[in-house]
Amino acid sequence: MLDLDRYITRDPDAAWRVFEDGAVIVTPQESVMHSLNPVGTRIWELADGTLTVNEILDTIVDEFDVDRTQAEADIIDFCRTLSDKGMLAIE
Amino acid sequence: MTMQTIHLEIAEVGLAIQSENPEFIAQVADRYEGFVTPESCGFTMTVDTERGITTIGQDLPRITTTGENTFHYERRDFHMDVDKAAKTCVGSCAPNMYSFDSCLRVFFTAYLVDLQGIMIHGASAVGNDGLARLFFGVSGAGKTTTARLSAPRRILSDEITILRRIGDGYRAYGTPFWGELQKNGDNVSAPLSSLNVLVKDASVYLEPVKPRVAMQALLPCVLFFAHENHLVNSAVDRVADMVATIPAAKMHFLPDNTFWRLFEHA
Repeated sequence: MLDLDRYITRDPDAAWRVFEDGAVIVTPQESVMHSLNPVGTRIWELADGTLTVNEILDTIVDEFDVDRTQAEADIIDFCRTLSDKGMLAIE
Repeated sequence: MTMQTIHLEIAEVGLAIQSENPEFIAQVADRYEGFVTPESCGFTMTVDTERGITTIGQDLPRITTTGENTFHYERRDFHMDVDKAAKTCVGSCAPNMYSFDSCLRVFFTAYLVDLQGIMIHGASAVGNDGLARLFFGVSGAGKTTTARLSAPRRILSDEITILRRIGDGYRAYGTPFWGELQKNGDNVSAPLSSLNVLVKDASVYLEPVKPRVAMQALLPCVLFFAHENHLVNSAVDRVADMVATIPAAKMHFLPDNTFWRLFEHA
């Protein structure tokens, strides 16, 4: 289980651009492209290392009108997935 | 041996190719027919074909920034040191056109960043209205087919098109970098009016796509070998700007030239 008090930081080397319907991220070393939906994009934007998972969860619930329990599960899954790909650091 | 020179111009970038190997210069003249000019104003590329690089390479090229205005690129069968301020490229290349063509492509992928340009794996042609359309997609999507079916229009390339930001739009340039057609593109350019993701289908229509979808489709088609962060960011910026500037659509098409009706009779 991911501790919600941990801080997450996106890969500073990643090139990313935000559009109205999501974001596109390119990791330079592998030149691999990733696409995020609007919620994933917001998490990515907020993952600058200054906010905990719990604080980001508060923002997501507030901005997207989603159920907190579901949002928590989604954020944990998102963080694990991107962390496994080396795109997100969990500290 | 005497240094011989042949002048090329591709996408408004002049290249004076110099070599002491007359056979190599003759091969360049033949390979880049249509892009040879009496003189050029731009880079001088000095190519040593004798310095031990003789095998056809398979490795991916590597580009390294070596200074504020300099970079180095290499593959098993070529290497070049480029000084953008002095406009010189000096290095070696195996004396065959497969190697030299790759050497030129890598040079353009890196140098076009400075010209707000990019190379795209995509076919392109100029319609009767004087505007260029880019047709792109994964391997087998139909680039060569759309190029071939675009005749008698001016075909810029069946494989690699150079796009440059000019004023408030983009311009598409013909290139000598061919694919299955094995024929140089026409050495002309035209304003780019649409980005078309190729979709083979049973009917012909355009399905407009949003910029993010266009970027997702276009990024894998960018010809780019650098991995340094600032260069990757520049390429991503260029594509993001392009999809924000040029309308994009999925172009569903049949294996005939009816897709041109979508543009010329719209």
